Amino acid sequence: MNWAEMGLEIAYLLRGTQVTIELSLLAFAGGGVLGFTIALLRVLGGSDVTLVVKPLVDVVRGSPLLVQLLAVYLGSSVLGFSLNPLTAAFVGLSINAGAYLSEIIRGALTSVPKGQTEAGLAVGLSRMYVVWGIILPQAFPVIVPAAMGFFISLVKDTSLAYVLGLLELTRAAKDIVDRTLDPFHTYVIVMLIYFALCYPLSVLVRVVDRQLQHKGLARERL
Amino acid sequence: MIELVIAHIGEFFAGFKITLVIALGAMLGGSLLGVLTAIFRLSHVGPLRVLSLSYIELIRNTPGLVQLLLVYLGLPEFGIRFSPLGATILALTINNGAYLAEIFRAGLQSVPKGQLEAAAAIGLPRTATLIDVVLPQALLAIYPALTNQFIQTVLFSSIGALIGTVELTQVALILNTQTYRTIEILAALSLMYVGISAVIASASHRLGVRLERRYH
Repeated sequence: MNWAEMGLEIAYLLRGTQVTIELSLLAFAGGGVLGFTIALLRVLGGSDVTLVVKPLVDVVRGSPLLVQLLAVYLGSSVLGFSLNPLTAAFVGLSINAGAYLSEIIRGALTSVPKGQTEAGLAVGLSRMYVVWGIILPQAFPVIVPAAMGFFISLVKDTSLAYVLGLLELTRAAKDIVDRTLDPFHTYVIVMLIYFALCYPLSVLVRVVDRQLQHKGLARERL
Repeated sequence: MIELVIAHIGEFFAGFKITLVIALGAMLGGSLLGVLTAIFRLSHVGPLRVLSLSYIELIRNTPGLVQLLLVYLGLPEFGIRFSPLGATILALTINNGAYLAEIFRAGLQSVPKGQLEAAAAIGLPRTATLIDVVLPQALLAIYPALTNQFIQTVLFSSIGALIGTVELTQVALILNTQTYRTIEILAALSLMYVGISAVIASASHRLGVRLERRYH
């Protein structure tokens, strides 16, 4: 098989690419909601909430995404409510993303100087309003580039949904390899497709980061 | 769950050892590759900069799983064959090298220029400058990032299971097909990884405290 024949398979790969993009966006939304909720719970809720939530976050961040995806997929069928591969991938990736994003958001919230909270409370604002109206807007420039960077990881991570049999880009590649027996060219093309998805985002993250640093909005990070 | 793990402790330990071999191999190989790439990236020779930048961007913007499949399934088309373990170590080394290169670059750039000028001014040889002045300060700046990368590498080594490397995750998956005690097995497996991550994090923390005390 040569590069020209490979062109015929591209359409199939592009259908897989569409699933990869959809799954990435869905899981980012799911993980964003989850991560935001966890971060707010931990910042507002005090030590007893943290006592319950932190170990859960640590378990997710301390174990492989592959194992989490298998746990959701195989676990759900053992418990009798079999999730289809797409739903299982969405749930597994959202849980994983939620744990990482919650740390990004919490870190940004706690990076805002304490004096801001104290001042807000001193003038009689509610705790909720202080977080929502004063802390969050200042934390936002820290959250945005980090969350965008995480989205790039998420796009790459969706390739692990391959094990659940979900027909995303990496699984589409496997089908083509099984048919054409040409793994080299297939996987090179698949790498280039992922690169075409992720590289522009990487450049965008750098531009946004630099803009925010330039405006002095983002705090110094290593 | 506990009796299940105890009953199969030998298999789990064997898998754990392979996981460590992969992660340590990828960290060591990746560090060599990463240091070299970081130096190229900061060099004044154009082609070296382009080469290192292409490598970093290509690897960091594509999934490690696809890189692994390319190494394990793609390279044999050219007669280059690896065992599953060999392919896993190689692919993770190549993957890690790109991430480590950026960490090392940040470390090298974190050392103020004045330090180099001061070393040159008192006539310190270049190698001594690098080893005694630049390296300790760079390491101090990057050891948290290195620790994190090490933990990520341990977790990511689980993808070796997808090409049949019998590391920790594969041991659990094999056990699952034998016993069908899926939930217990995957819960135990997660906790094992959590334990490994925690040990690495705490060891690094202790090392960090010692480094700080020595150099600050």
